[in-house]
Amino acid sequence: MEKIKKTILQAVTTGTTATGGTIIIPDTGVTYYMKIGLKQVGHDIGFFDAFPTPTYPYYPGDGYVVYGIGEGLLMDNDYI
Amino acid sequence: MKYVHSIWSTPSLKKNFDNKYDMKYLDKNFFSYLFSALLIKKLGHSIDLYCDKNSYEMYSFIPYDNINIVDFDNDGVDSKFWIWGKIKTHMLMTEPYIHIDGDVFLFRDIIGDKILNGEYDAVVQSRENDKTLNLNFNVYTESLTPFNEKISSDINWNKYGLEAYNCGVVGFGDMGLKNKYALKVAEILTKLSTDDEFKIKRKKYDGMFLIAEQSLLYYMLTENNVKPLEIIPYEEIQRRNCEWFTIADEIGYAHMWGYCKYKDDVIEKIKYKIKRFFPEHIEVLTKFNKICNNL
Repeated sequence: MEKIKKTILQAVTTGTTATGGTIIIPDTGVTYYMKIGLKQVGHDIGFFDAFPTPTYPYYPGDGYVVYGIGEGLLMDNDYI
Repeated sequence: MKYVHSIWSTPSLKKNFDNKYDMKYLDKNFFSYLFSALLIKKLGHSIDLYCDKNSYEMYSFIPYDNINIVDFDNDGVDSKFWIWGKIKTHMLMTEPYIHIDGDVFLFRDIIGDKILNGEYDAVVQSRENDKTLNLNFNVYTESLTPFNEKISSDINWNKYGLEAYNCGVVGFGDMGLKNKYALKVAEILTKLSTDDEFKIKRKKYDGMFLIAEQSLLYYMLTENNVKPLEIIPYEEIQRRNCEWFTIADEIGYAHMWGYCKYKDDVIEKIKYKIKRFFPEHIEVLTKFNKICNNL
């Protein structure tokens, strides 16, 4: 997972990948929907969690990460 | 204040969904309903359940104040419209109440007595439009364009644009207004349920809940000059440039909408919180597991 995170972070910030390929640097002002073939899509994957985007979460498709409103309250073990 | 939950199992037992998450939601949603109900009771309010006979076997384990078995199957509304369970429940209410979805968690008493004391005639979660929801709102509404004519007499698209009130929480103090709203939603759902073209082209449910339940509520309240209590106020959403998730965190409100509630970590956290903060109800989890093992 760490390797994937670093690769994606590198790709979206520099436009390059470790295998020598290049990608277009995305516009950071818009929301991108990334489909990643991992089963742990709902788990913490670091920088993607920096700010959950209020997208409409009614089944955008397998592999998308969606967040509930106030999900942080649920994730906080001590919050009640 | 009287809170109500509702659940209708039939939509989840037929092929009404395009994905694996919403199918058989009866057992998948159980922990969420339990936690949601326990939080309402912790706040000192009562909570009733309106459910079909099939749901009763499982959901009667949850310590509701009252459980009402309702026939949702014989009203002429197709089971693709899962919201019918909720709308019929609205129709059955005769005194001020708040319907809360089973995936909504009120950690704080945000609404208090504001409906009972007449300060507000209605309460909703929040206002939705293409500014507060980044992408899919227009997709859903545009996909319904072929059916606009069939419902245009009920929903005035041109006058208000694409707007809706999220109904994760929706309640009424004005029963006349509530009756008018619920009857109109029922009328639209019945109309579409018997429409041959709709049956062919819209085999699945997606999108219609938004229009019939949520947009209609916005248009109807606006037409009647009713400003509802918005749990997440639109003014505050605008003030924060639509970055409104943080507001929910601050006020103690959570809504595991859509298929967020089916994520493994969300389900585990719900079970964790039940065990830690409501240990007197751990036996409910045991009973539930037992019945699931026997299914």
